Amino acid sequence: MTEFEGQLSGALRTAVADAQPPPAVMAAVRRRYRRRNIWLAAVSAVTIALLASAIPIASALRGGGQTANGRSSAAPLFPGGGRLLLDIHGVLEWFYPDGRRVRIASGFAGAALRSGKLLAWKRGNPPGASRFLPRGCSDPSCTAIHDLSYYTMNLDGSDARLILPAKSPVGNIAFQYEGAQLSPDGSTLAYISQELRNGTGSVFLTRSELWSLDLATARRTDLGPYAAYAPFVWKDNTTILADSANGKSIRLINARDGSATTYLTIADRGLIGAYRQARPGSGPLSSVSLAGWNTGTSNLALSLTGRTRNGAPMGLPVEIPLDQAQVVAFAPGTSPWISLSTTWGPHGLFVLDSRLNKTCGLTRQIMYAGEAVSGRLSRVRTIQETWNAAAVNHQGTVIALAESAFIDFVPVPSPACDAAGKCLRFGEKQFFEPAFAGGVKLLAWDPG
Amino acid sequence: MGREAGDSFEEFVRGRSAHLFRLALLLTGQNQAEAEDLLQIALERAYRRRASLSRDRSPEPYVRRALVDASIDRWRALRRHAEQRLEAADPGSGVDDWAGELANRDLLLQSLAALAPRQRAVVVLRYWEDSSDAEIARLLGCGVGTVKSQRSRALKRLRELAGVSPSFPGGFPSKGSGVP
Repeated sequence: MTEFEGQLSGALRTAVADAQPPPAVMAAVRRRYRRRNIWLAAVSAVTIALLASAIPIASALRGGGQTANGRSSAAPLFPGGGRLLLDIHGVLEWFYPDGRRVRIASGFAGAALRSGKLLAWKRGNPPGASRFLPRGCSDPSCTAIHDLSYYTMNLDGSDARLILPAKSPVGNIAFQYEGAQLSPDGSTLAYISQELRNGTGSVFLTRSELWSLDLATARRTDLGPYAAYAPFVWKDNTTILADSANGKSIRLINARDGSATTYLTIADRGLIGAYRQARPGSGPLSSVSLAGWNTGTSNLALSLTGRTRNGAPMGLPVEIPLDQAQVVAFAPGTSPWISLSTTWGPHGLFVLDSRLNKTCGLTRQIMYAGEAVSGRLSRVRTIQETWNAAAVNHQGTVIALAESAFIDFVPVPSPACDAAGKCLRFGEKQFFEPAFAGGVKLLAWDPG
Repeated sequence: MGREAGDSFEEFVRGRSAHLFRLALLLTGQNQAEAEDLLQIALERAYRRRASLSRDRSPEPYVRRALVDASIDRWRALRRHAEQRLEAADPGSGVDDWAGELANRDLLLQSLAALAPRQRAVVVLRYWEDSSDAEIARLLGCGVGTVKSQRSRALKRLRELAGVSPSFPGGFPSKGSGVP
C-alpha cells in the first residue's frame, strides 16, 4: 500500500469511526416494509372506478400529488397509452399511464402475452430438487433453478390454470422446463425439457428435447432432441421454426407429430448475399440461428454468423420477408463480439439491443430501431446507460426501457416510426419508483 | 415466513447495523440523511427475503450488495434531476484553499464523493473494509481485473481531484507540516 493509499484508508476510518446508525433501525425497516405492502394491497384492492376518479394511489402514497418527475398526477406518467406488464419482485402488475398499478398475480418469475392470455411461470420447490443445486451456490436465485411451472391465466389474473407443473426428481435425475411458448391461438404449448444428472459435486445436462403440449387434451408430443436454451418460434398454430443441431439450417417442425423438414440453410443465396453486403470482406457464412418472429409483418428474423479473417465469429441479424425474395440485413456495429437481442413491435418495427459486454457493469450498449421496409437502423437516443428490457407501444411510436428503479420512455426515431404513420417528438420521459429498485422487469406493453 | 427467520434477521441488524451504516455513509459521500435512507432500503429488501437469506447464509453479503446498488441508483436519480450533488462536491474549490481551510482528510473525502459510485464503492470496500480485490469482485459481480482497473482509475482520479502535488508523490503531507 502506498502512502497515499494509507492516508486514504486512514481518512475513511476516521471519517466514520464515531458514526452511529439512527436509533430503532429495525422499526424503520418494518415501517418501510409495511408501507410497501399496504401500497401493493391498496393498488390491487381499489376499484377501477375509484382509481379513475381519485388521486392515483401510487402518487398519493408518495405524497404531494406529484409524480416522480414532478408533474401533476393528472398528467399521464408516460406517453404511448395502453398499459405496461411489469414483474415487480415476483408480483405481476399492470401499470397504467395515470399511475395505477393493478396486481395480476404474485409469486411468478415472468410472463408473456399471447392471444389475450398470459403465460406465466413460477419457481417452486418440488421435493428433492434442492440436492441438485450447484455446489457453493448461495445466491437466493439458486434455490430453485430446476423447477419452473407454467400457468395460463386471463389478463386480470383470473382463471389461472397450471398447465405444466414442475416435475420432481426421479432418483438421480432432475427435470427442467425452459423457454415455453404458446402457439398463436393459445391452444398448444411448446417447451424444452431437460434432464440433469447429479454427479460428484456438479450437475450435468444429460438430455434436452423439444416437446409440445396440447392444452385441450393434455397430450404431450416429443418433437426430438433440441439444444438446451436454443431459440424456437411458432410459425403458425401447428408448426414451429427451430434451429438445427449443427447450426447450418433452420427446420420446420410439425408440433403434432414431430415430423421435420428443412426450411432454409446457410447455402441460401439470399442469406449469403445479405451477409456479404452487410459484412463486406468477412469470411464464409458458418451458421444460422433464429432471432425471432416479427409478428407485425410475419417476417422471419435470423441471426447469421460468419467468420472474420482471423477466424472470430461475426454475427448480424437479418429479416426475411416471407412474401419477398429480398433478404434485409442490419449491421449495427463492426465488433465481432457484439451480442444482439431483438424486441418486436407493431407494423414490422423492432428495437435492436446491441451490447458489447465488458464486466462490472461496463457494458457498451446501444439501442436501434428498424424495420424491413427501409432496411435502415436508427439509433434510439436515450440518456440511460443500460437497460434490461424494452417494449414498444401498440402504435409503434414509443419505446419503454427499464432498468432498476427506472422506466424511460423515448420516441421511436425516424424512419422506423414512419411505418406507424406518425412520429412523436418529445424529450425522454422518465418514471422513477424507489420500490422498483433492483426488482422491476418490463415484460410487455399491452394496448389495454 | 417463520418467526425464526425474523428473529435471526433482527439479530443480524442489531449486530451489524453500525458497520453497514458507516458503509452507507461512505458510499453516499457522507450524507447522513441519504445514508440512513440507503440503509433502510437495503435492509428492507433483505427483510423481504429474510426467510431464504437466513436459511442459506448470513444476509450481510446481500445487504452490502443492495447498499452498493442502491447508492448507484440514487446517484443516477440525482444526476438526472436538479440536485447535482457532484457539482456541489466540486473539489476544485477545495484545492484552491485547502491549505487554509480544509484538512487533508476532508479534501480526500470530498474528492471521494466526486467519484462515480462504482469506483467509490471499490475504494470504500478496499480501503475501509480491507476487502481483497477478489472479494470485491464477488460482491460487485465482476472480474478481479475490472476491480483492479476501477481501483487504479479511482486512485488516479482521487489524486487529481485532491490536487496531490508532485512535491508529495507519495501522498499528502502530514497535517500541520506547512503546505506550500
